[in-house]
Amino acid sequence: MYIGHAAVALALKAREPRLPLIPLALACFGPDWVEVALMFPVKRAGMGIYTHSIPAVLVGAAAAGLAYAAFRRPGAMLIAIGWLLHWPADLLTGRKPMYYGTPLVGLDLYSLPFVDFLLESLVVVVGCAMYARRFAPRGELRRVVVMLGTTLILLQGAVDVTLSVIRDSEWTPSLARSGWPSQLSVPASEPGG
Amino acid sequence: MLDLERLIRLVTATHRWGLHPFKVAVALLLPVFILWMADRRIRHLWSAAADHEQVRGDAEPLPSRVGG
Repeated sequence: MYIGHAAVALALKAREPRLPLIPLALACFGPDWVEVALMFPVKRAGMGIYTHSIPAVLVGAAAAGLAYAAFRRPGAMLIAIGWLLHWPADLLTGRKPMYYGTPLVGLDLYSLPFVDFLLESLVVVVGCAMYARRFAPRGELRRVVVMLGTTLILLQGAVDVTLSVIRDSEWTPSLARSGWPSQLSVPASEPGG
Repeated sequence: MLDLERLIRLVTATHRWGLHPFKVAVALLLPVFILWMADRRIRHLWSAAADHEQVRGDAEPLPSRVGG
């Protein structure tokens, strides 16, 4: 998931208004930041196991929450939750490792950019709605939130259009072992399909 | 006629390198920057409205639910 993580940050911000949005947003993208850091200066494959597997996400969330709690309060728990929510969000759009030695799992919606766009737009709308609920119903504030949501959706749209052009892989969702045939690829004429 | 595919390939000229770390870092910074801008604007509007209400001496204060 891409923009959906930002929407998760907006939704969590509504839970604790005293928590600044920037550290929350950084935490929601946390595993991606760690992966980028591990890939500098040159791209290395297979870093996902250290950043996006369940143990890595748990460790990252705990570290981020504790680091935030050491310096500022309140909201450290939401920082950790934002980091943790990265994994289920990515499960929808990509394929991620669960733990070391296991095949990648996920719905792989990045390979269906239009569906990914619809899903992430929905997440943005929900996130913005939750964020806006903490304001008094004042027009200028609501307008900023609408502009924010629109900008995020446009950004996601740009990413998905790009994906649809440059993506050359097939949709390969996997919620089971990689050796199992996809249920979607079973011909309709096959018995028991 | 504008060839959308060529345009996108031009804009994402480095796509052949896949998810290069630099591209990912820029892509991750963009939404964070957008959130920061919007939150900053909202806090500005909110404090301006609060000041305005204070000057007018309205009996009903703004709810203090917006944080930093």
